Amino acid sequence: MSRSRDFHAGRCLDSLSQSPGHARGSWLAGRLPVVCGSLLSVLGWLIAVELAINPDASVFAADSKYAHSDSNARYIHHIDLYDINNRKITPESDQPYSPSNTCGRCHDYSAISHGWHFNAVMNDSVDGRPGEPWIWTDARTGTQLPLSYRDWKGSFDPAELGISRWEMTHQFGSRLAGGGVAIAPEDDAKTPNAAKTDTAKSEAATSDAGDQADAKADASDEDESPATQTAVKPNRWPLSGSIEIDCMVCHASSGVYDFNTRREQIEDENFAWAATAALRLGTVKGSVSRIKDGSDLSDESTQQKLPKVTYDARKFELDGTVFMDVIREPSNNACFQCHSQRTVTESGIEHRWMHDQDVHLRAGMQCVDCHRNGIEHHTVRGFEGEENPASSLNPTSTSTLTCSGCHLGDEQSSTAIAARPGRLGAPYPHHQGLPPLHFDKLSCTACHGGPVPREEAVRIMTSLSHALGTKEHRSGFELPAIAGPIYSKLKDGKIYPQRAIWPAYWGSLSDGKIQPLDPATTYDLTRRSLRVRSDFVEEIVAPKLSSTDRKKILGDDRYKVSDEELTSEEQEKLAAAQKLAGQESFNEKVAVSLEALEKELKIETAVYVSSGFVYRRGEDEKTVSQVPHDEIKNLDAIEMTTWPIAHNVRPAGWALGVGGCTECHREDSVIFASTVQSIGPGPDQGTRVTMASLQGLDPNQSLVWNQLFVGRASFKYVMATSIVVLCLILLVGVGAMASRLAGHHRHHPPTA
Amino acid sequence: MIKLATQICLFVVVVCTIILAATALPALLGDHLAGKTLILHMMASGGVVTLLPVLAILLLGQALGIQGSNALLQVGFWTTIVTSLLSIASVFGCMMPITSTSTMHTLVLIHGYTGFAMVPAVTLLLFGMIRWRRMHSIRSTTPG
Repeated sequence: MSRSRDFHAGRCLDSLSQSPGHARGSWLAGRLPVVCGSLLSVLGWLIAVELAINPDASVFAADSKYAHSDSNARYIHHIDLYDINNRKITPESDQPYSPSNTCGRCHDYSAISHGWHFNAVMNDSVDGRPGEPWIWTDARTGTQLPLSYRDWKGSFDPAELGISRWEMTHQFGSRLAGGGVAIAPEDDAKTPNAAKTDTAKSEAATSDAGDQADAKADASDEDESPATQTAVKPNRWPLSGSIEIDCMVCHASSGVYDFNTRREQIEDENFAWAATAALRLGTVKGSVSRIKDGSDLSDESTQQKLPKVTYDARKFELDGTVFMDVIREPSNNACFQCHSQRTVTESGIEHRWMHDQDVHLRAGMQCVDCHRNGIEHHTVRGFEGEENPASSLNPTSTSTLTCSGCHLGDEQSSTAIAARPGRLGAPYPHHQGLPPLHFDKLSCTACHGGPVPREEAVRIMTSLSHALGTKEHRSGFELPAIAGPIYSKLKDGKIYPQRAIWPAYWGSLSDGKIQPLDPATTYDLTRRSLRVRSDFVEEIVAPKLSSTDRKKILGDDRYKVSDEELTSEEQEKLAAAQKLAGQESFNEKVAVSLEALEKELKIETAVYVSSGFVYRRGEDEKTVSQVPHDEIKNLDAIEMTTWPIAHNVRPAGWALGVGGCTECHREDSVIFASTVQSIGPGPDQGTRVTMASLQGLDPNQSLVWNQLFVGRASFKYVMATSIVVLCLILLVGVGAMASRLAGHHRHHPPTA
Repeated sequence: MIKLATQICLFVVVVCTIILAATALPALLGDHLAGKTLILHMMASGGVVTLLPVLAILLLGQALGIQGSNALLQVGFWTTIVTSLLSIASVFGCMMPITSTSTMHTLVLIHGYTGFAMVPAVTLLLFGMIRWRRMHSIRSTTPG
């Protein structure tokens, strides 16, 4: 799955300076701001050219023209706010403030935009080790589709599926810090709001000159693809504006930034207003989502419908500045907004009080103590072998921010003081009794990280996928269904604890290859055939039985009894009936939906994928059948996708193996014998598989190995006896030799 | 009976030493032993650990020159005892829950060196035994 990254270095700044404000410039701005905007554009292009010539230039941003305080002390920010047209904001203004024009005056916005949190769509970014993909979840269609602009195995490129950047921003913007994908492509931002194609095709066509040929080729290829056949979508960028990199998402003092307000603004399509609302600089009235597609921005009625800001005059000082409560190092709370997780057991979401935090946080550390960056925002992810552009400045400074780097030192440059173990006071682990072989086979996190392993993988909820942090009623079983910990290998051959998801989506099957369809289009086309109000699983796969059905199964006396009071036999009967009803409903509605997709999108075979199974229409009407796996050429499109878990790190005493060799080298050890079963919205779930099989271990070999460890304690006594006997024999030998030497001296005394 | 026991012990020790050396060859390339190779190595080690002390007791008289012997056998015997003792003791140290990773690295290094040194030592012992057996056999069949 190739990734199209048409967001060229420096384009971000350029597009920012030309984003919605330029579209509205004709009616909002006077001449002076336009000139300023143009100058900024020129500056942006100059930086872009520099970055194109020297991609590492961003690393050396500290040497840029921007002033810096060079003190550990916090710099107090009483600053003027500027809108997208570079006009100073006063209490009377009704336009949102622009982070790029406000913060970018003193900070290198262009360099920052290349940071890890913003650069997924940039050509010069490193894909890096797989992380959590953006999972497009639609409970109504039973969709959980892993997406990423990075070339990660098992995730799909949104552009290839016809999912526009605007849609990605709308879907995931509340978890984006801004920039990158959330910035309107140049053409879309400038074009008056006539209906135009805002798809992968149009975005590819707006790529930089170097990529244009490829983009055109791709675009022509995509003309034939089902994804683009119905993907002529209106361009809403000029209305919504972009989500610029919002510095305050991370750098606001704890409690200052209102993430939920930001989320609401993005859901309302008020992208450009989100930063202002989240800081509560004023109130935002209006919703872009209420403006019809194709509305003309030059039309006064459309302008009136655009959201307006009413600034809180109390926020402005006498000199017109606003106090921005900025902290240099983001607080944990800011990180937790997007990087939290909860485990879910059969009884629901595990209570927070039952869990300890990461041992490092308990020791008083902050997330940013390890996950550091300079102005260029190449945040250290902290895994071994990470290719961080910042390491070109000082390799040791990043390599010793891994688990082993901090605790064991950087063996590659062990002579340097800064490469020694013990960074930040990290204790040196002696790993007593643990053969070094384990460090070749296991990652640090295999024993120390992730949820405490159990006999089977449990469900996991994450901030990015389940919107943790929003006020909702969750059961823990909402889609997407993520399982973990999964103990499987990464490219380096080591075992890592990982999370896993089985993609579920509606797609097309052509020449043995499965390709997901744009989920938004799919929803539109299957809405009538599926007739799901809110949940595909509850309404189709496992429908609630009616009281008539219950009466048939349980009889007149028992059918009103609550489920908890029913006997296990009765519960089994109900479950069987529910399963049967679900199967019938699934067959009928999915078959009709697949037919609708085939008809509307003119595709040969439409399929529904879930839990590793692929369903297509059956030979009989209103039936579905499973597609045999040997007919599928790209199985990775339907199989489990995993990404490593790093946190929470457990204390040494809670590490795997502390209980001795047989904690892992036995038949029922959690790292090898625990199981996982594919989970998804569909009616069929895969068979349980052991972690050992995911690791590619030979079960017979594992059995022999485990049996060897059963006798290991006894063998130690045999060895001790052997050592004692050999020592005694050696002693006898030495004694005999000494005796002979003494005898030799007696018979042949040395002459004087 | 003792002769038979000695022969069996020597045979097992020689075969196990060959297996141990062969399975340890990847270590010369800097790799750790793992998988089936390590399982085989561990199984063979059982033979040496168990029967080498028995063999040592059975051959002690010859090694000390109390019974009929030869220099090859004696040198082979004592070098086998020293190298095997170091080899077994070093790996025994690794199995103790008190040795740290760095100590373990050192012990594994010692185990490797002494283990490979066991090969020529056991070879000397074997040839010494064969030589002694031949001499012993000639003397017994052609008395006087």
